[in-house]
Amino acid sequence: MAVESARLNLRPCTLTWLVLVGLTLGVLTIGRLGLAGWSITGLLLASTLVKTWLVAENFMGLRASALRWRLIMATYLVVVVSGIALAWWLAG
Amino acid sequence: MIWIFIYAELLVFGILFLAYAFARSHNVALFDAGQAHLDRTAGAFNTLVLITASYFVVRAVAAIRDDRRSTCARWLLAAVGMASVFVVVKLGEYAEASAQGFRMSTNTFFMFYWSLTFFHFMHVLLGMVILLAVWWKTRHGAYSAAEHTGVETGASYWHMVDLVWIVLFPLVYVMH
Repeated sequence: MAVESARLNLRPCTLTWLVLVGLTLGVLTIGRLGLAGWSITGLLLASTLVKTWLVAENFMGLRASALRWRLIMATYLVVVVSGIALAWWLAG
Repeated sequence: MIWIFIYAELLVFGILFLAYAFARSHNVALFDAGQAHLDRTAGAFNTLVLITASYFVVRAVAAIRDDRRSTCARWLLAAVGMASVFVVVKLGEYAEASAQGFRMSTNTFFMFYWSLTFFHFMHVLLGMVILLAVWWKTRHGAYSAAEHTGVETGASYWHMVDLVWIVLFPLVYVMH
């Protein structure tokens, strides 16, 4: 974790929180409507990818960390989400 | 150093997520039937609670960077309060599942449901302990604008707990 003495700009963090709330309500709506299918699965996985990346970048402060830590996180998220997509595809 | 610890934790959760997804591919009907018994609204509510707790932790870090210790302590306490809400809702979910007879031994879906969510639940409890420790040290002047590594480390751990739930909720509660 990079320790910075610089002031933290709260605006991106507040916007991140609002986007996270909006996407979560979107996921809940999809769940309550019982929607399914390839496009819905893709939408949910894309939403998950966006949400996790926003948390990592803006909340965890990965944005200010070394490139290698950001690459590891990006690779981790893509591998997990792609693996889930592959499993769903195998399930038909 | 904290990143290595966080990535090790994320790796374990990542393997569990993939194990769940591939186990489901062998018995879709069983997993869909099990998922139908879960309370999606409670899951979504808990997601909102965790991301709000994370936002409060961000505010705490911002406050200590400005040397506002009492403000930092208040945001940390607010984050612990939100985490407590998560714990109460999750315990309610567990009580409901148990009352309906859904245990780890019920079937593969509930084995994964209990394993994944309880493993995460334990991380939430540990996160609360860490945030409370950071809050106590902040109150006693251990951190300042110049030195607040402890606050940032505790914050990173909490955000990791949040990040894991953001994947867990749609995967276990919604996707079918």
